[in-house]
Amino acid sequence: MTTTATENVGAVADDRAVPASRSGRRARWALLLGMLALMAGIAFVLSGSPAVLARANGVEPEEGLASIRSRASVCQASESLPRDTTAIVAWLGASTGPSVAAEVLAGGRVLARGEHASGWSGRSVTIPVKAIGPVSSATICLSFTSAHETVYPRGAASAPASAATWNGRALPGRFTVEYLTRGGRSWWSRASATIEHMGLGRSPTGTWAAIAALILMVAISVTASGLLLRELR
Amino acid sequence: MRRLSRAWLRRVPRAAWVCAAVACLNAVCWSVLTPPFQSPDEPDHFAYVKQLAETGHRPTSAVSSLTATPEIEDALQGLRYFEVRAQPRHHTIASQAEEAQLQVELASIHEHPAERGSRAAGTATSEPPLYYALATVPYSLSGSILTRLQLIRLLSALMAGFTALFTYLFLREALPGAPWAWCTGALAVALVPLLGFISGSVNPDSMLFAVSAALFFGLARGFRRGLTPRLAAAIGGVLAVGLMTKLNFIGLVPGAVLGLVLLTVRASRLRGRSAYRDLALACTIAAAPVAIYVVVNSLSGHPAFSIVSAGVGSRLSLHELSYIWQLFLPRLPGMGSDFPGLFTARQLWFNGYVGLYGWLDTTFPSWVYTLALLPAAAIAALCVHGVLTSTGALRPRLPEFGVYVVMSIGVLALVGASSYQSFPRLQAEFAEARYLLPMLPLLAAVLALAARGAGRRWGQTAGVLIVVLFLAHDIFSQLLVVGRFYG
Repeated sequence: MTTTATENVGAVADDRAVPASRSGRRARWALLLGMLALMAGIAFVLSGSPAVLARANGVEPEEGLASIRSRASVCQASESLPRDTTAIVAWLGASTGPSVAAEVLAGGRVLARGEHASGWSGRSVTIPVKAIGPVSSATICLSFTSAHETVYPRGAASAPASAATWNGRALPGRFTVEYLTRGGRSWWSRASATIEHMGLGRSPTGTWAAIAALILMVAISVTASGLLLRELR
Repeated sequence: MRRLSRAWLRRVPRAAWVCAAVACLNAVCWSVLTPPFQSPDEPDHFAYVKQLAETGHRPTSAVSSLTATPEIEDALQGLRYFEVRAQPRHHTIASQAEEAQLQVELASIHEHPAERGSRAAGTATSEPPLYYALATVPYSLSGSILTRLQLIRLLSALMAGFTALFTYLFLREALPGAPWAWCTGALAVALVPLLGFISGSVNPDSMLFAVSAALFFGLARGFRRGLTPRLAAAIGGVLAVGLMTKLNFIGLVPGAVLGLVLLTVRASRLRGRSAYRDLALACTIAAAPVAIYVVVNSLSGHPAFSIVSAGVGSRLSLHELSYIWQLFLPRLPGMGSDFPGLFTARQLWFNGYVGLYGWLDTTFPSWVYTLALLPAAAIAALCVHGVLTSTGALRPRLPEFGVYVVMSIGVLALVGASSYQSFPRLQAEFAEARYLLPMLPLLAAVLALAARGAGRRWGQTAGVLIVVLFLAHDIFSQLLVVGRFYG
């Protein structure tokens, strides 16, 4: 490569002048410890259980029940929460959703509350709550603390008596709610089912997909580490 | 010409090729993990390729391909696409019975071939054709829609490799004093999960990122070594390719033109008027395919500048400027609030970068985004320290940094202006972090400067930890996607 007179204009101080051995050794240790921490993190995550659907309220998300674009509270009675509910999935549609606070009420008492920050998008929002349940006849209230975009509760038409309410007024139906709980099986124990699942719905089908992904990630990790070791001498 | 390019390829350091390989393999991995059509606008982009491959014409209807193209619709039904998309509790097909049903759907497509091509390509319809034209090659290698999709995804993954390669070369020109930091920045970029996710799907963004990185490299080389006729022609070529790849590239053009003008003025001090011939050469090469595009559009009855025509001649209002500002930065005194209760920089852009996959329906638990602020703040602090300790060396290069800033503002302004068109019906339609990835080389520079900011004793250690952090982010993002779609 030809070097011109302008080549080093503005070049910041050359680090190649620094004695390399000690900083290189530190960097190698950092790499080793970093990779060990990463592997420990992966093992920890895989030993956890994914949240699973414990119950849905049986309302199909067929249509938008309202267009809400202000501070509002939407409540729905006669909800039944399963044991150890850890999150409530409310079917709300938005592109940049507002913050949503959820409360579970029964017998005039607030049994649990949770909140999801603004900025979400899609057709549903998952709001974590402290583990509660079972509760047989609860009211779920969702409050939009600052609606800056239209929010659409999704559900299906129902009799006015059982319909959800928006700031006290009846909506044309009930909205869809799902209740999540911590699953009993870790990711490790679900590994073979997950690998099989990954092989479906693609061409060609088979377990190659999971195996290929695993091999690729190991190859990437090894290649990146090898390059760092070579360059940081 | 061939000898020249071979000589240039030989001079590319091995480390740059390794970074490219890492980025490419990472995108291939994402292409395997992401279920068919479960990434933003993938059915529409696929429909565009189908139309171009089977008819030789571009799509003409902006109607969604989901329901307007029987072959795609049948495949989507078989894949349970409509149940899975935007519904994080729903997984992809999970039983042999569903797989058998899918195979029946796919077989019926072959037995009763639907109409050729797809006139409708939804949001992709307005895009220029270069990426899609390249994608017709893998498309034509197979007859099955799912195999075709995977083959085109591999083409996109190759683009991720080019992104990392040009990012490395950009760092080598922009920060010539710290070779180990080139590796830190380029490897980290190669492992950015959002780059892997988008480049692991059928999406012209994958090529846009690569072309943008090439543009940054070309300009950095010019600022370091001076503008030559060959470099001017190369930058013009990159601009032409970018403009034919995706409309978003237009955001980078004003900054690139400013850079070319500055380089020409600098070169004219040494070479006199001949430097202006280089500028003219670059501009001619860049404009040529655009001129052809305009002529073809005009002759075929389309708006001359496609979707951009709507914005040509329209003036920015004060409110639009205020909106664009607030889309990225905190509101200033005197501005009306367009995003009440929303810290856009963090909640839309930072969180979107940290983890938002699938059809923007796959997210980490909220504590992860809070935790991610810690390493981000540490990197930002180290970068500031790195800049402050090199102020003397960096000051003469302010014009170059000014060019990069103008390029970045161009990208942000384009995203903001596009989002404003649907405001207030939608608050921030295009607030997706992927639209900022054309600036990946600047992220790499920030990371390299952050590693240097840790000082001579700890710089390399900081560089290693940054790469491990990005690797961890990548792996946990992939596990998130696996859990969401197959768990």
